[in-house]
Amino acid sequence: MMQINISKPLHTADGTIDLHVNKEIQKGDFLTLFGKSGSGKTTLLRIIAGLETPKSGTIVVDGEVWFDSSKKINLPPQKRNVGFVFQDYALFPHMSVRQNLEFALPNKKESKKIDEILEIMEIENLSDMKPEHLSGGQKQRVAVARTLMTNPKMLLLDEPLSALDGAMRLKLQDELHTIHQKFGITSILVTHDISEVFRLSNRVFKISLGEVIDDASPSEVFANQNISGKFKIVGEVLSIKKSDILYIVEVLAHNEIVKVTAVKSDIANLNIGDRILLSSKAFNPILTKI
Amino acid sequence: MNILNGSVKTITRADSLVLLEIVCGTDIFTSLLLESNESDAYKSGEHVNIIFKETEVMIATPDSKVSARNSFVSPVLDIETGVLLCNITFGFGNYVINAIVTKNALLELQCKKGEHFRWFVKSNEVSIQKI
Repeated sequence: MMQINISKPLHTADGTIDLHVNKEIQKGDFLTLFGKSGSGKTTLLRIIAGLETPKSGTIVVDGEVWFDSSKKINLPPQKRNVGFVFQDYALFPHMSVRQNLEFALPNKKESKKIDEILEIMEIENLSDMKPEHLSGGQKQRVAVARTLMTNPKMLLLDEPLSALDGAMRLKLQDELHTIHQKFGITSILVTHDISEVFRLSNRVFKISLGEVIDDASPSEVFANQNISGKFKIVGEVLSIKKSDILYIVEVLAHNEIVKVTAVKSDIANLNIGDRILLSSKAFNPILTKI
Repeated sequence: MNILNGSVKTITRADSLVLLEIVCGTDIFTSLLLESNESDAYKSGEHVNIIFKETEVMIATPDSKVSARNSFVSPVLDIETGVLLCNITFGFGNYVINAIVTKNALLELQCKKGEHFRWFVKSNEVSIQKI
């Protein structure tokens, strides 16, 4: 469990704001930090990693003090045992995949661990390749694999998938979910993608101007979604077309285009590009064996 | 979407199926749900929204007997017709209910503005939203 109670002034486009967070994060939580650019999400992640120093406060993880401004304690990043994954993979270009992982391994004798992680991440066949020959998705897999070499207590993910295309994103979301479950790691993710929030996290901090304004499950945070439907899919409105007295709304959800009928009042406040929740009762879908 | 406000009156369970009776004004709505986790646990007296799509609402002559639990006779306030479909607006207490049916059905049943007509929706088509 992490208890964090910190504050730090941030200079943003909205002027100087005070990033202030006083929360407990449970072991095994998959937490998303959600908010506009400049709200303080990435700074909070960097503060947890030890890459930035708060003005005041404390960070205690499983009883170990990582930061305490009054006692002048500030553990350096390498002593905090967190894995940090960035949008731009940050791999060593002159090293092969295996060498990149080996470099991160604290005890060089445990080379079996490299094979184990290569297998889990399904990148054994890439082990002798240099990063320049890898696709974006493969590079990000290697970056995640590298963070796992140190058995981190926490995975800090700063928009790790935002540079990838849709299909690769979905695949890596599944892999992050599997890693989170398999290793029981506490994970903290910064993302702007609501469907990613729903797929991965059990808890969301909605952050605005440095304050956590909402702390709940994804469906509670993203408003009015406590509806009884058993099929709930987050999607994006692609088009709205009139069809007789109805409207046909095309929604991009999980890489598929779904068409839904609506009436005029349903679409009154709906615009192309809006994020929406599609829900349907368990009774409606028809099962056909294929 | 047809959205009405009500309060839960009774909750009947059979394995993971749940039948809710919800008081709305002087009427009672029924919703059949599949319960899947604790967040679905409804409480008696709890205020909820009763939601169903216009295209799930059927109409019938006032003296018809139907199996749908949510069946009411209400005044027809308006009828908007398209090429294939039509939208019938009913007055229901303080609410309006919209039913979208084929135009052929409307013509066959001779449903007209100003008259009373039956509208109904099956319990399994009614969604519940916690407020």
